[in-house]
Amino acid sequence: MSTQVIAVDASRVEGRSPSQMAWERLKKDRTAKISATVVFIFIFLSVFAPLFAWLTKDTPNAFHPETLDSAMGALPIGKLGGVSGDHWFGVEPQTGRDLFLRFVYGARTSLSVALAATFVATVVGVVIGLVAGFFGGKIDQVLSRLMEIVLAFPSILFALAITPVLEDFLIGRGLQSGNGTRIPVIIVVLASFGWPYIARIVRGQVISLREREFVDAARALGASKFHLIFKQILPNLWAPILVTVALNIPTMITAEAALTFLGAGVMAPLSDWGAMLLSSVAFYSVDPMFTAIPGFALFFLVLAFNLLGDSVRDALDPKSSR
Amino acid sequence: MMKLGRKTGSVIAAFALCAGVVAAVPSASAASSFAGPAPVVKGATKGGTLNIFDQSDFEHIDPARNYVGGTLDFYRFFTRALLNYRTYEGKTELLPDLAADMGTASEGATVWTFKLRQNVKWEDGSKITCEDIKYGTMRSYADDVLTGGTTYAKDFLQNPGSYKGPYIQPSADLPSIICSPSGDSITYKLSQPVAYFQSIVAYGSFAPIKKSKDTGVNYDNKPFSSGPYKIQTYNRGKDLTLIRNAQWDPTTDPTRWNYPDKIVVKFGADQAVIENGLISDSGLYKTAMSLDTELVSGLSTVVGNAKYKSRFLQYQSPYSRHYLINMDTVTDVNVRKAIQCAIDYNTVILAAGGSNVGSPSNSMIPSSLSNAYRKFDICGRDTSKKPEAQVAAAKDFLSKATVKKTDLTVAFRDKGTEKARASAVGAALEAAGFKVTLKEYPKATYYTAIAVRGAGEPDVIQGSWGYDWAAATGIVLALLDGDTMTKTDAKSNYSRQNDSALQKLFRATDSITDVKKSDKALGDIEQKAIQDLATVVPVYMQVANAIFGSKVGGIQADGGYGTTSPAAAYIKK
Repeated sequence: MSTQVIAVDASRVEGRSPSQMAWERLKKDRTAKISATVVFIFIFLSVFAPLFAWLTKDTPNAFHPETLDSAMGALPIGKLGGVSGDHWFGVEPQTGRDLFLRFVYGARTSLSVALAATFVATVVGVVIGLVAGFFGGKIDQVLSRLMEIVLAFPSILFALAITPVLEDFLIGRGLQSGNGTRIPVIIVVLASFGWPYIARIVRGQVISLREREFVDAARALGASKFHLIFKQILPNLWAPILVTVALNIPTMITAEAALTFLGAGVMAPLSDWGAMLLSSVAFYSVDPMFTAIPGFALFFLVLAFNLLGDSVRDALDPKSSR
Repeated sequence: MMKLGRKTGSVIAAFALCAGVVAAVPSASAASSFAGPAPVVKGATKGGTLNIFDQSDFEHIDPARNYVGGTLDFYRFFTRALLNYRTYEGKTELLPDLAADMGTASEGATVWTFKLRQNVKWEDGSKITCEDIKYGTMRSYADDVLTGGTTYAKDFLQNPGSYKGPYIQPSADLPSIICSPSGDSITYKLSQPVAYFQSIVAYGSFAPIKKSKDTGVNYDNKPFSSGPYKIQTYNRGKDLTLIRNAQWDPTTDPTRWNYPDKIVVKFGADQAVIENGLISDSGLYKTAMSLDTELVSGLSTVVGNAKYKSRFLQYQSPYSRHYLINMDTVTDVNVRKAIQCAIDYNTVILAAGGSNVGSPSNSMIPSSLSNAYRKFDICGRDTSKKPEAQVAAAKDFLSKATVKKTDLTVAFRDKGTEKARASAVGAALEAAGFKVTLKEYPKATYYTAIAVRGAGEPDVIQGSWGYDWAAATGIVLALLDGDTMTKTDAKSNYSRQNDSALQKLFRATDSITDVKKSDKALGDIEQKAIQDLATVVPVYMQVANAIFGSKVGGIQADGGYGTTSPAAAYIKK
């Protein structure tokens, strides 16, 4: 997308901070507006999922055998997978569970897991990046190699393998089997493959910042290392961190859906888009609506997050765009 | 123990089988029908290639290791055993295969003697001897090398010298198998009376193996053929090609046909790919069928559409789908009864695919076993007429319980519709006031994992069972006998049933050699276990739906193993 030219109004020349300028640029970016709206809609749906359940007097796990045709392979009765006033997106074949509710509750699962994993990855990545970049030398060598090793792992395959192992280990330590254990495990596993992306960017930025005058000045005044890292350098890094976060969220959403699709994700009967996709595979030819809902949901959410991330990057650093 | 969910016993013709074959030794007057060849399949022509598209490779085709329904049917193309099931025009009979008669029992069914056919040949033209048959059984003792397979030989034959198989003890003998000096008969000495021994010797551990051709574990990749076809090539996980075995003489075999010139099995396509290929009837699929793929999503397209009628096969298989309640963890009978009442037969059957996939049942015994099957109420209602959950009754039972266990773990496999069914049960139990965790297990190790006793046992186990032979011994004794359990392993008694009164009844059946009588006694035991102890919630009996190509004829439901069978298949010109 092209960067908007900032109009300079001669009558109102006033000092603006870089963040104000970025916000101005973002507000003028139509892609940003559309994608932000889509993201907002999904967040709205997932936050207010119980409201929809209350409105339709239904739950995402309630079976509706009356909506299925037992003699026809238990497929939904009616057009478009059983779309009706009661079931806005139709019902799931073989169970009759309401697909709209499963969709909004699925958005809840996808978004909360992805956001939590991104948050953990960001905190870990920023700290490690700061430490590696600031101290340099041996510490940087070790941490950088660690990042490269983690990046070299085939993350989905590894996550698929390690999730059940980690879960069994925790259950062996007395935790309950179920989503209460599974979801934190997924978050940790996803985060453990997400942090190097942030750490590398932060490290690079820190290396260029640590020799700057303001850091030298603070150092000359006897500031502690902690102060230098977190009070002097970190505040200058929020722009690249924000961009990485915005681009990390869609990756996490797809990773979570993939993990569930492959069987190591959230456990039934909790709604999840990956799980919906998986169970819809058997019906794509006879009930395409069932596949379309989680498919398009994932597509639009991931696309919106990616475009929003791009726009944020353009706004924060107009020079980096084409 | 049979592989659950895969291996099944007799199907539609189980009735005939039970009454005519298992129950009694056929009289001598039947001897003429024991001669080959098998009766001609109507409309069958020789020639052509039969294509079989499967999702996964056979686990084992080594006769000593094979224990999977579809494979037990298929491997007979190149493996003969003492007796064999023949399904012809809807009727299934157990007939002499390498044996020349149905065997005679003596000493209270602890000694069985079979006459042997002469001039039956291996694929290299050498004669199949009594020693080959004996070696095949001896080889099945080597479970250190040969994993899988039935354990019947080891379970039932006398083994005074603790024989461990020909690999550990190459020069030792198994004296409980005796070949007559002239080699025209074989005698088995059993450690207990086994009235149904004829059904046992149809299994692969009673198939011959030529000692000089025994390649140990590698025999699984190229068994030496005694049947109408031999293996040309076998690329594990990819394809298997069978060609005619010229040494097989149809006059020595009343149980097999060999219409196609060639049989090619291709592995690795998805369920949906095979299903859609067979429905669309295009290219190679015109001459194709599948052993391991049933209609699921395509069922609605095919059912009731006259266009598919000639290539659609629907049959009742003897698979019971049920929920076993763990009596070690759910100790209060009222909680178990609450579970029985809470399960909604409608939602479970719909989750399985609807009325074309299962019909409600009150028992794990198929109604075709008329001596054993009992019609009785579960939770005070006829489940076929009133399949809905009885929530009020469930809550009532739960309030009566002294040990109120309301947190339940429901175990299921990551296979087919199992998750949908488990979700249906979970939702139904929650509606009755339970708190449910669904626990998914990998399919490959499911039945081992759920049988482990100790911490983390599931409370409700989604199970299925098909019998190895058409008698209640293969169902009730296998699934509910508490004496088979060890401290760490529930074996196939997944509900951990060990009620002392019921165990007394079980032990009383041990001495019954008459199948009719034992069926009756075990039917009573099952009813007690379900109605009084609430150990199991039987939900439905499986219905199978298969489709095959328009150029294939002779596809039938096999009565021996309850599978869609290519045994009598031919390619239409």
